[in-house]
Amino acid sequence: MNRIKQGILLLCFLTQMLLVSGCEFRDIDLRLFIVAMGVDTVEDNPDVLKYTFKVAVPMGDPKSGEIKSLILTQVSSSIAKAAREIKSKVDKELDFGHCKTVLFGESYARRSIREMQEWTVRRRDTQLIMYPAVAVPDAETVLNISPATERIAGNAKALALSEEGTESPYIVKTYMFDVDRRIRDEGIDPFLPVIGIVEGGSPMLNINKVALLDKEKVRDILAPEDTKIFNLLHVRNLRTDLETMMHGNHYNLNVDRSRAVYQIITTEPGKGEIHYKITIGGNLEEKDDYNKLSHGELIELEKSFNESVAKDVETLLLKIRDTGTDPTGFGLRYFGTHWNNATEKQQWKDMYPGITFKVDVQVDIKGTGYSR
Amino acid sequence: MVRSVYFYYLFLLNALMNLVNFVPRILIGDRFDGAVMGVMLAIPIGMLFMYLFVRMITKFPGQGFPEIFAKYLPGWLGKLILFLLAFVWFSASSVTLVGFMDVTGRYISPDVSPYTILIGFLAVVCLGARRSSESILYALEIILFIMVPLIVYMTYRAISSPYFQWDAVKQVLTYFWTAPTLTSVAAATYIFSGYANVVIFNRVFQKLRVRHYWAIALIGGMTAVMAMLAPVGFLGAEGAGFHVYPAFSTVDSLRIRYFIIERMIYIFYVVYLCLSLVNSIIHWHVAKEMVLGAIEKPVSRSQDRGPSQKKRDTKEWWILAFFSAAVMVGASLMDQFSNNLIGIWFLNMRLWAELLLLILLAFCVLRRRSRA
Amino acid sequence: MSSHKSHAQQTREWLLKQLENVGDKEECTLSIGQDQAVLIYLKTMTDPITVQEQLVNRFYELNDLDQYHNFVSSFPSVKEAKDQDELLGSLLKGQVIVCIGDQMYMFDALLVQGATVSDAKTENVIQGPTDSFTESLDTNMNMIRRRYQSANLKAEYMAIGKLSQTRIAILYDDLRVDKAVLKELKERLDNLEADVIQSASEIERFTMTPKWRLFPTMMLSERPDRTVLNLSQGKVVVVIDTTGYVILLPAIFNDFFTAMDDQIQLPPIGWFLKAVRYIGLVATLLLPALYVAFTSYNPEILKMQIALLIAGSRATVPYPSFVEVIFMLLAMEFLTEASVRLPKAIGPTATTVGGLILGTAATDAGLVSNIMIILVAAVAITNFVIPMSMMSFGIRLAKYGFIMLATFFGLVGIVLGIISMILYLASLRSFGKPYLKMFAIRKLTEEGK
Repeated sequence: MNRIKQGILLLCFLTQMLLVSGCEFRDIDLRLFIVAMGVDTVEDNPDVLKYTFKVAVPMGDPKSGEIKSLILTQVSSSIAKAAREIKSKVDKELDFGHCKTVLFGESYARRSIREMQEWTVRRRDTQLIMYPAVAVPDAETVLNISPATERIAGNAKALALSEEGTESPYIVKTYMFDVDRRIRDEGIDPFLPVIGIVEGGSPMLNINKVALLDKEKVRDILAPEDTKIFNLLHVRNLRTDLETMMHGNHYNLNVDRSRAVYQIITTEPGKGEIHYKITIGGNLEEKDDYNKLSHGELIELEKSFNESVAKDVETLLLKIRDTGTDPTGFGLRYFGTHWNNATEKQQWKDMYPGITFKVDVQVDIKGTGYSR
Repeated sequence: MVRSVYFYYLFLLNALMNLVNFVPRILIGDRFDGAVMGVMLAIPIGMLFMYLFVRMITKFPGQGFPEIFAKYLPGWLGKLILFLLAFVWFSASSVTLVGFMDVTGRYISPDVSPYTILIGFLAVVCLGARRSSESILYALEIILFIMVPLIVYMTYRAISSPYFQWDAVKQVLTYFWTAPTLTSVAAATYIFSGYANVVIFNRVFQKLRVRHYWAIALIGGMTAVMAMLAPVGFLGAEGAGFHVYPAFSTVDSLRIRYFIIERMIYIFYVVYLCLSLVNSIIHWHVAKEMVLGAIEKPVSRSQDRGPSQKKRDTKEWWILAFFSAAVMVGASLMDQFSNNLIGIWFLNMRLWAELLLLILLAFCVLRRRSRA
Repeated sequence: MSSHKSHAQQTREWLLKQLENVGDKEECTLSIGQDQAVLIYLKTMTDPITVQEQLVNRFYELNDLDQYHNFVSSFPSVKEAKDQDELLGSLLKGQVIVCIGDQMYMFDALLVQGATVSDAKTENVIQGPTDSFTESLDTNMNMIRRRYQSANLKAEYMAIGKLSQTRIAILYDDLRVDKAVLKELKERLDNLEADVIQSASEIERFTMTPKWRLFPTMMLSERPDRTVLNLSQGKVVVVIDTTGYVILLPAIFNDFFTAMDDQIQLPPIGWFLKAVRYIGLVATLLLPALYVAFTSYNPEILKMQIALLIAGSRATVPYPSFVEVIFMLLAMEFLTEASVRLPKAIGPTATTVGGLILGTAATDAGLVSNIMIILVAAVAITNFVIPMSMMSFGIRLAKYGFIMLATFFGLVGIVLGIISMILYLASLRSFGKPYLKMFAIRKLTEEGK
């Protein structure tokens, strides 16, 4: 009897809940999912920004492969305001839960990405694993591009920037939480991939550069070849190619194993040197000299690779140093290995602009491919 | 009657609970002010408390605190202390529940009113706390067996992630020699205080015997280290301090590639919701039994449902209703900052309460010896 | 002479002592003047006609003990016992022990209840015995005894039900049974207040507390092999006349997920099958609730591809997700119920009409999303993975609870439901045994030994 009473009580309670909560839920078909967003500066007015949202429109038949998306733009003084203003332009509730990509237009990124970046980290429904990127020439243009290979609205950019899709050595990978901590921490600076577009022909994206940020604004954008070397330094087992010249012939190496470690050494008070040790393993992919390759020549070739890669790396590291940014986090490593917590930050600040690099590359050519 | 293995479960649950919410927040807040040393100190302190407690409680086989106090302390003092201890247990679960209500509103169901959610929590906790001690332990065992593999998986994913920044961790570790604050020691010792629930559950232990203290120390230490350093590795040495729920932000930075759910945070949430509900059930069970022990004559627990049982049931309902009402009122008065403050108060208070517990127990042991 | 006689006496006494508490044991003394012959047999295992005609009637026809002695020993199958154990063994096999003077013969009168026994209907296995219990208590006892030839198998007879006076037999292995369970069972049966008992589940319902339960704490089985396995694990079996099911107790949660296949197949396959059943349990309980939670509260949890897929297929559905789910699940329940009641010949037609045509039409009309149809089918199939139908019915009902919780609280509600369910199951007791507990199987067998 007692049980029955309890059961009835529970039932009443649940019915009550339905009334109290007023059925607050909104079905999935009454929501619009924003899959990507972007922000640009407005040319003649520095106080407002142009926000662009890409909305995926679900299709009834998933087999048709047809995708539909909607681009909404809103000029507003802040992102929070824009997100509300844009809601009155659509019939369904906007949901940021599936927003995967945030694009900062180049001119905006050169000013400061902080406002937008802060908002995405603070807001509950935006993910910390969003892919941030700098868009060239501007975010709206890039968002409007849907490559022919895109099967789900707005997915192409997210796929290219993630580990799942293409494995290009020219794409640097980062997440929003990564950018956030790099902005917060001393001794490390954020970097962002740069999404460009292919001029003419069918609409296509081109992600092959990296933007180096001085905490919140873009200082420099590296060229594609530099980006590749940049990735070699930061990604373990990067799938890439390396080239060198030997005896006037051109050789190309397919890298399948790579590792870069470094050590900061204080040579004399106030002066430091960073020793880089890079080990690379791979197979020969292309050679201009069509004769058979002997073992001796292979060793010679390895040496040639060592020298050319070391030169490229050192040039790049000096170039990055001279921009005043520290995307690798040399500073953080320095702080982490020194116990004088009070003074280490100032020491590093004085040391970094004059720091020198010593790069040691060890290329190991495992084979020459199918032919010798 | 249950085997001693349930003692380890009680410890493990409490330790795992402290991977989220207050303990990591406090430890991270103090990361440059002695939290590392605090954790190091907490391990021996926590283990010592546990060891002493187990040594003493085994002198009273099959007896909970209400029975022990009734026998060895003057009536009014025993009752007063039982009420005090019940309050400590009750507040432990209340801060957890209110904290989780906040988390739910933030990450999972912003559409549902937080009070609706809290009512749901309270309903389950009340119904659960009324079960017999054995049943609660059996349920705890099953839930741990389901959840611990998931926690191990998430921990593994976090540590093995290429985005885990060891340099930031090292940077925090270089603050090792900073003198610890009391708060951080109190927070870190809480990880070890799962044993305290034995004050009631000792009734059902069939010859409590605890061995493998080294394993307990190891797991507790690892938990403390994970609670503090995993957020640092993901959110940055400085950045970790900017997050309200460092543990949740850390897990939100993890991505699952091969599953229908992409964001790890939802799995983490479900796991921790389960654990905190079970934890609250255990705490309320202990608190309820203490209050019952204070207002009722000590009787041998009988399984038959006679009229005295019915009376007891009614009393139980009133106690639990009072607890629920107190939590509801508390939740409506608190915001993010006051909740955090109360969490810190609770942790500090708890350390002294634990000490009081040990002293009382020692007193009872002495009384027992002199009588014998 | 006298010592010889006392030896035979001793053997007989030993035999009867072994058979203490064995309710289907018969001991009948035939006497002419001072001469006596004693027949000892298990009445459920022997053919009563054979015993009556060959042993009892003939005794009085011959009217002389020596002649009877010659008559009995002249049967080719009759043997003299070598020792006590052989005697006991043959008794349990269904032979009649004939004691004439100091001689003890074993007379084969085995009753094989093959013809009336039909195949199991509700608990099918792939490569196991197919026999199932009949509606006669004696036949069922015969089937159990044939598979469990031990003198430790005790049987106690009772009659319950004020009007029906249904005969029941309580069976247990004396060495392995938990005496507390047995005592509690007897108490509960004594206190049973019902006029008519016609099926095993009625006893189940009348004896268990609390009465309001969703999950069975006694198991009903129609399989002799499962019954024998459970006897060997130290459980108690209640055999009831007029029903083809026996009650096995105590029964814990895990028992309802054990099919006899687990014993028949190789161990890894057995484990795999069990894992499949538990996954099925989780799926059938949670899938509809998760659908409601994901579509209505937390669409951001799923991968974008899946979210868009669901959104797309739900685009034309005119009502909220929980209505859709309940609507479709009810349709499925109707279908299941209809196919149980329908004659076997039309059953498949109904399923086809209902399942295929209705489902396809509903999606085409845009009343139900495609994903929903997949889900309902999955729920229906996984529900039938649970081998014991009593449990499967409980689960069928429990999933609506989860749907309710998901409708009110979203994902949080599902978690609340899981916790409550685990706690509820853990707090149930089946004759003092915890109903849901990790490692319960190992514990039980250890205690049994």
